[in-house]
Amino acid sequence: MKILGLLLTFLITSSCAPFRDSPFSDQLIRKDRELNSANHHKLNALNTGTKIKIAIFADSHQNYKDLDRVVFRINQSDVDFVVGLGDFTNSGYNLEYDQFLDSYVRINKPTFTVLGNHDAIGAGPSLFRKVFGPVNYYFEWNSYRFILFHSANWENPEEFNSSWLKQTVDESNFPIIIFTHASLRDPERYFEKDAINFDEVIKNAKVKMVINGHNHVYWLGNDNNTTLLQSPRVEQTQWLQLEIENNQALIKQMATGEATSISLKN
Amino acid sequence: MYSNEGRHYTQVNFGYRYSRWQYNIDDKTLHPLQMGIFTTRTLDYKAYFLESPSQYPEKNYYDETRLRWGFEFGSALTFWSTRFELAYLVRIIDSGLVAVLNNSNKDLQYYISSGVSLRYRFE
Repeated sequence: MKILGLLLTFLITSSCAPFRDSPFSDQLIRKDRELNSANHHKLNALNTGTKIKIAIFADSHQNYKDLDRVVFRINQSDVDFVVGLGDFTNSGYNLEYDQFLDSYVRINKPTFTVLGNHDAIGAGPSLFRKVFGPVNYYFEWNSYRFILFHSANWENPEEFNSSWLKQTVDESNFPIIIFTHASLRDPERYFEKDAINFDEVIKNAKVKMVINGHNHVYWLGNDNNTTLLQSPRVEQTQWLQLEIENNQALIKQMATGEATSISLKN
Repeated sequence: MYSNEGRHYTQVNFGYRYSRWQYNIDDKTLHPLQMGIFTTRTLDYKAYFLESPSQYPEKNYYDETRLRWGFEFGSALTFWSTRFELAYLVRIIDSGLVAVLNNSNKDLQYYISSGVSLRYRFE
């Protein structure tokens, strides 16, 4: 009887187990693909107004409970779209990508994701391209150009390209907001040509804001009249709501309720 | 073997399994429930590491990624004078265990994986 019970338990649990060849491969269980461009199409279907509202979260790693709480709160908000600033895994494994997506796809608004440094190790770059699309991407909406930039130069040097960012900024006919994982002023990571390119990007008159994650704490600063905003990690249900209207930005730290109003450069 | 961007790589697995029960059926033996632990290590030393490579400021910048461990259980049938064993296994690796502890959406399919193996027993 005991054997029968054990066997039944095994049969029941084994029926929930798909085949995955290895944690090191780029095989995914979930079928979500090209999510950044798919959500761009969703965003284009929305009406535009004078105000843009964006929800921003970062660095969930394997903290799925707080991520789920943030997703729940974002879904109750009236933001236009959402940006995740990367580091949604610890080690870029395929099962971590699947686990993150299980929460991510529950966001009921167009959502975009940037590659973080943790997401870019191992098979991470291949997994990211499968799920989200190119590691560097931009879209235009409501007379802004939004750039999603891959900043993980140590982890994925093959696709890191500071010249792409500079070119995408130079070619824009719209004001620009850049989303990236690591700060473009990170002195540990960026030198010489990359530091020069990023300096020119930040000083460009069209670049209104550069928003990053990576360092896990909230920070707001000004660099050559460009607003630099750093998102905290999702721990303790931290996320940001950014509202932009007529060159004014209102940044709300949603966990604490604090709000800061700033003028963006003309 | 596994693949990444169309290229094939090798991983090496070591495991220890314990069978509490066994049933003889003619010249075959059924082990209805084996339980064990395993480690799996990739031989792709470029993408995976034990210590963070030299481009990172510290050796522990990242946790090691080349080696993982986990638990497994399954059923096995030995045959051909017990030399060969056909087994079905379910595994959960350590990263999955962390996710189970942290995740409120316990969708098991992301945390466990199954497999079939044919083994030769050296005795």
